[in-house]
Parts: sequence; C-alpha cells; structure tokens
Amino acid sequence: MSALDGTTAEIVAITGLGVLTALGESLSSLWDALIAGRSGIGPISSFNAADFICNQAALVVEPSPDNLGVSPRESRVMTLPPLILLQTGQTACLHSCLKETGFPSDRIAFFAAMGMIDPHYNDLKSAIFKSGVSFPPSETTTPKPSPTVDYQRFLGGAYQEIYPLWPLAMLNNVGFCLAANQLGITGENAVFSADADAGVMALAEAVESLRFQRADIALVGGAGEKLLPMHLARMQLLYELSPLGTCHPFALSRTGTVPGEGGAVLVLEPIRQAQARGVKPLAIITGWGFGGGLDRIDAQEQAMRTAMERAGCSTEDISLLMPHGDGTPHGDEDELTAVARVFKSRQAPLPIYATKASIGHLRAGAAIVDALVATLILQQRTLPPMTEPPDNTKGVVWKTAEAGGLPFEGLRVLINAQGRAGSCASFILERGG
Amino acid sequence: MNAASKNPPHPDRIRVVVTGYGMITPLGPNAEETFQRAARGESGIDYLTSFETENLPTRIGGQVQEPWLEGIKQSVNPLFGRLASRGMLLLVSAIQEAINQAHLTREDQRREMGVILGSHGENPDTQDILFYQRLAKGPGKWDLKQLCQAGGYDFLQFYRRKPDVGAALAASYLGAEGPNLSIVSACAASSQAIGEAYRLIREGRCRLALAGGCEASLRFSGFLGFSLIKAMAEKYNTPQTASRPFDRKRNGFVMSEGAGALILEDLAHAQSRGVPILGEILGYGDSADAYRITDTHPQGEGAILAMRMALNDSGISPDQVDYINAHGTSTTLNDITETKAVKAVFGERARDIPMSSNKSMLGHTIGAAGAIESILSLMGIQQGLILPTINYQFPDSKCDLDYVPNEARKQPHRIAISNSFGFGGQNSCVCLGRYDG
Repeated sequence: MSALDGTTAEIVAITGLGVLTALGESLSSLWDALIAGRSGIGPISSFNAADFICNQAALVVEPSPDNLGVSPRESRVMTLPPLILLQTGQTACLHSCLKETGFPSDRIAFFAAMGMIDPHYNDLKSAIFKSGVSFPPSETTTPKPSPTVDYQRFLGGAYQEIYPLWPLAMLNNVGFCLAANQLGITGENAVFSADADAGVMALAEAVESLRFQRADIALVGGAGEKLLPMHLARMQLLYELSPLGTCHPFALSRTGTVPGEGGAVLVLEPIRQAQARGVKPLAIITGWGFGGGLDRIDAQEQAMRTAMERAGCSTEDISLLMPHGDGTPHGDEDELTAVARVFKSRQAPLPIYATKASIGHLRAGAAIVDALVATLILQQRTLPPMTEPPDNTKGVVWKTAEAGGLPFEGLRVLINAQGRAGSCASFILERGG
Repeated sequence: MNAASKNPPHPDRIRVVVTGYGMITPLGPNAEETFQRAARGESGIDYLTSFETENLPTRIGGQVQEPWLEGIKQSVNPLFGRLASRGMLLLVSAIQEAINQAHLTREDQRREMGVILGSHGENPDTQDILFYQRLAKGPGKWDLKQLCQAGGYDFLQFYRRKPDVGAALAASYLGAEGPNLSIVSACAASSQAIGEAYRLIREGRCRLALAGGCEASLRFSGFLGFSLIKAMAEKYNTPQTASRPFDRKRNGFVMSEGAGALILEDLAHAQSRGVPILGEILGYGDSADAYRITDTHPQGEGAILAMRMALNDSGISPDQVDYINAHGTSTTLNDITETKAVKAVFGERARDIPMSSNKSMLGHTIGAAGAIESILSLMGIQQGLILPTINYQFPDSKCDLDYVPNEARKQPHRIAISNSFGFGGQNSCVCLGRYDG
C-alpha cells in the first residue's frame, strides 16, 4: 500500500528539482550520464594535486555570480557552496512554477546542509607573507618543531591585507543567507552542518514545517565543500581517499572515496496544494530516521529502522536501497553490516544503486542530490547501473542494473547518509504520481 | 495571510517545559552565579589574556576563567578531551549543570532524547595559516608527509573545527540516541537550537532534548574576523564600560565566550519523572531578512516577523508580554533596528515593556548567546527580577524604550520573549513563560 492510498492531509511532495554536479547542471545531462554509467570524476585541475595519493575528483563548472544576479560586492564573499544553492534553488523554483503561483516570501521556508569552509590561500597570502611566517625546513623537523608567526608584524598591520569581508565567507550560515537573500525567502530557516546526514536533517525540518503549516513551500538544499588543498589533505589524513582515484561504493574492490563538488535544491509542498495548482508531485517523503553514538553500525541500523517505522513499511516494501556508500573499505563495511542486519529476513533480492561512483562524495550535498536522483529513478522507472558488483559477503542478495539501465517499477527508495562524527540518517521517498 | 498569523496553536498540543539549565559565562561558572552577578550589574569584560592582542584596535573580551574549567578537563575521558574544542568543554560544563538540575540519568529515555546544538566548531587557527604557508613554496611543492611529521597540521583540529562534532560528542556523553541536529546560524544558533528542540518535542518527534550552544572564539583568528569588519567596540574608557547597548555612545559589540544548555521535556514526561518544572517554552519564531549580507534590514522586517511568529505560535497577544530580552548587541545599527522592530510588533505598548540586554554585562557570546539569554530570562521570571542594561548613560533619541537602565528591577512577571538575530540575516525569537500548572 502506498502512502498516497490513505489521507493526503499531511503528505509532503517534491515538486521542483535543481542540481549541479560534475555531470552537469541539467536534470537530463545528469540522468543521461547516470544511465550510461558515465562518471564525472577526472584529474583535479583547480590546483596541483600531484603529491596527494589521489589526484582525481568530480568537479563542477563554477556558476557565474553575474549570471545569478549577485552583486560584485557580495560575489567576493560568495564561495562555491552558496553559488550552488542559489543556482539550483533558482532552477528548482522554476521547475516547480513557484513564480506563477506567487507565494508570499514569509510563507516560504528554507533549510539547507552546508559543508565546512576552508580558508583559501590566496585570500590570506599577502597577510601571511607580510607577517614573516617561518616554518623550519623539513631537514630539521625532528621532532615536531614549532612553526612561528611574527605576531608583532601580523597585528601591526599585515592582517589588514585581508579583505575585510573575508571573515563573512568563513561563516557557515552566511553563504546560506546570501542564497536566501537572492531567492527572496524570509520564512523559517536553518542551516545544518557539516556532512551528508545534515541533508536529512534539513529535509526532515522542511517536511515538518509544511506538515505543521508553518510554511506553504519549503526549499531544502545541500551543497558540498569546494575542493581545496586543505580539503584533500584532510581526506588523506583521515585515510578516506582512493589511491586509484576511483570510487566503487559497496564493491569488494572498493579502495576509498573520491571528493566531489555539487549540490541540489528540492521544492517541497503539501501534495494537495501541488495538485490544486496543477504541479506534478514527483515523489513524496514518507519517513526518516536518525541514529547517533560512537557505533556507526548501530546508528545506521537505528536510522533505517526508524525511517521504515515512520513510513509504515517493512523491508519487503523497499524497492531500492541507495546507500551512503562512500567507497571506503571501513565505511562501507560498517554500512553493509547495518544493511545486512536490517534486511536479513528479506526474501527478494534488494535492488541497489549508489551515486558516488559517478559524482564523487559531495559531503553536505550528498543526501539532497541522492534524493534528487531517487526522484528521477522513480519518475523514469529505470535503475541506473553500478560500476562494480556489490559486496555479497554479508548475505544480502543484490539486484543491479547494467549499462543502459534496468526497468524499475518499484515504489519506495530507502536512502542512507552518514557523517564523519558518527551520526547516521535514513529517509524514504515514494513515487509521487 | 502571512506567516505570523496563519498558525493558531492547538489547544491540546504537547506542552514543552524546562526541567534543567546550566551555563558558564564570563560572569560565573554556573547559572546562579551568572544571574546573581548580572543582577548586581557587574561586568564580565576585561582585557584579553587568551592571545596577544597588542596593536589590535580592540583588546577586550569576556573570558571564562580557567579555574572554572579545571574540573571539566579532569572529568572527561582522554578521547573526548582530545576531540573536544574549548567550546565543547564549556558546553560540557553547562550540560553537567543542566542534567544535574533535571535529575536526568543516562538511562532516562535514551532513545527519545534529542541533542540540538548551535555550534560553529573551532576557528581555523595559526596552524591552518601555517599550513598554507607551506603551500606558498610554489606549484607542485607539496610535501604532505613532512608536513604531518612536523606537526604542521593536526587532523584532530579538523574534528574540533567541524560544527557537528559538538552535537555528536554531547549525544555520546549523554547516551542520547534521538534526533541529533547541528545548527549554524551565527548569533542566532543556540536560540534556533532551542526552537528546533521545542518543535521536535511539541510535534512528538522526541520526548526530551538537550538544547543549547557554545562559543569560544577569543583566539587569534576568530577575533580577527570581527575586528576586520569593524563590528567590535573600539572606543571605550574601560573594558567594563565598552558594551553599552542602546546607549548613544555605543560603538560595537564586545566578543565573549561561554555556553548554555537546557533540558526540555514534554510536560507529561517531566511529570512522570516527578522533577521540578522551571518554566515553559511557549512558542518560537524564525525568519530570514532576505536583505543584505552585511546589514540588517533597516526597518527590522526579519526581526518583526520572527517576534510575530513566536507570539502567534504561543497563542498569546502582544499585550501579554511582560519582558523582552533584547538581542541588544551594542552596535549602532542593531540597537536601532531592534527598537524599531519592537515598536512595530508591540505598538504604543512597546514603551511600557521592560527590555534589557544581557550583553551589556556578558558581552556577545555569539553561538551561545541565545541559550544563555533564554536561561537568564527564565531565571528572571522565577525570581521576579528583571536584569538591567548596564552602561546606559547617554540616551539615544532613536532608542527610546525602557531598557531597564543600570539597575535590576524587582518586578514579578510571567511571559518573556528572547530575541537573537544572526549575522547574515537569520532571526530567532523564543517565547518563555512561568509554569503555572
């Protein structure tokens, strides 16, 4: 039984989509690439990454602030994530025909997941040089010498080399506000940070905002970090990167993950309202769940079970699993174990599809982009292919597509998302019509 | 129909009450000491000792005294200690106080307890800057291995910077397995955390929650940012008189550190545990300015919307509000716009409602401010005392409300609102009330 078979009073639908990934900025370019099994992962061209163990990433073409109507002054503090939110937000609003309906700005809510923001070297370079920073040469580095900064020179004036509004760009919420300002949204709002699970937090808050009639429309977005050397260094230090530069989620051959840039915005509204204004409900959100604590297996299991309980469905009712599947040996091992625990009594093979092989790991953007891809799968009734067969050592029997896709008449998609700090989340989408 | 008038409260909805709170601020290691010193009009602002400030245009701030943190440092396990930022240690102090007051044990409804924190993680510091200096040797001159061996970049620092680690650590510390949200909205962060926790409970998504926030930005890089945008007070006779909200000679805010934590529960849950109920969250409103990233809306439209949404959500009229805990940052613009916004919401009655700013004594604790100020508002309701706005010497014709100047006022009151307006244009308002059964 579908959620649509019962009352529609509290059902929240997705009615607009906007996306930007390494596979393009249109729904058709993304979908065509996914069905063909193409990947957006390639050599890192934005800086010299030759000395990292992985020099591959899924990078986007950065949106132009001019094209998005951003003033030159504000564009100086508008980094890639807010540009992604703004561009995909504009696209999603158009897709949902919001302009034609004309909702008051204070009845539109906006929730988003934003990643961490790293200082960009060029923004600080001048101040650093003028401060006379010295770092002992590598030959004399045993053990752990203290690098020094001449504070007298820095505080004596070098710091003024930093663009005064630069600190704004370092605040997680400011990018979000920039996008909200441009989109003209004044309703309730929150920014969640900093990993994939934050996208599910944003999604859940958006649904509840609509269910409790605090808003008529809710935008929910997620934008990953801009790939900078520090971002890549962090991933290497945390043993996340694939030395082969490829990402094979849930595969026996998995070796690590590959960073990606990108994000998405979804327009959400009560299904009755969508029907009344003649907009197609693309998918409905029926359940979500969270799990915390230091044991990631328990946390993901709890999240999946809570999501299914909220959606009123069992493991047999799940038509497709879209795992977090970051392709790291330990991360996927934990998630596989959690999935195996939850689906151990399922009789039918479990269809599976993971996006990170094609668009990299989008961090805070991952869950919302996965929601968008799940919506496309439900609408197109086709399952895109996995790049490598999934690991079947945990006793789960999988069903996957080959290149070109597999006809898919399934109704429900279960999507997982994880944060580095151990927080896990799951949510369920159902075909909207 | 606008957002502020559409949503009348359901008479049978779940009521959300406060059963515990805690804080650590420049005025004290706990809520009671902070409140009592604030009631005496004392200032927690002084010259900074946490880093070298010579040559900076502002050299003052509100620091938490180190001895107050000694017990906390010794009580956390070594792994926690390595991962936790200073802000997180401050938060643990506030959490311990709150859970003790709420008589909460680790076994109490673990699955149904949420953790919602406003936290921004630790600022990137000198190590980060040095990391970049390493890059400055030219394209392709990476030496990551040497850099790591040299201690040039401590990856644990990454965890201390991550905004969601605070909520994850707090959940682990409490054994709380319910919703776990990390909110980043600058000065509105912990107020939004209270609001989101209130909604989670009211909407039946969890039965109790830890809500709050922390901030510890009195370090080189955190401080520098606000110095560069000229948001902090640069002209002052003494550190203690620098934060002067609504006073004509105000010229910026004073940055402080601290943490605040509240235990929120649905009423039935609190009653079933038989714990004292300290107050009630009556409603919550939040909005965005959608104006400019560097300025608040000149007419305070976002603030007006947030206050009206909170009142509407509470099901109370503007006539019923007895006290306004102002955002009151002591910046020229904020204090004027907030005054305008309050007049727009409360009309003629605005002049009759006492409105004070705790920041005059505490400074601005950024992500912790909303939680600390909500708690102080609740304590004021409990004790029938309205905290003052100190350093109010020179009236400003554009700020012409009753700011409770310089001395606390004994005045029984029942309902208060607490405003928080985040840099960038995110606004939050929490409506608090006395619990009368």
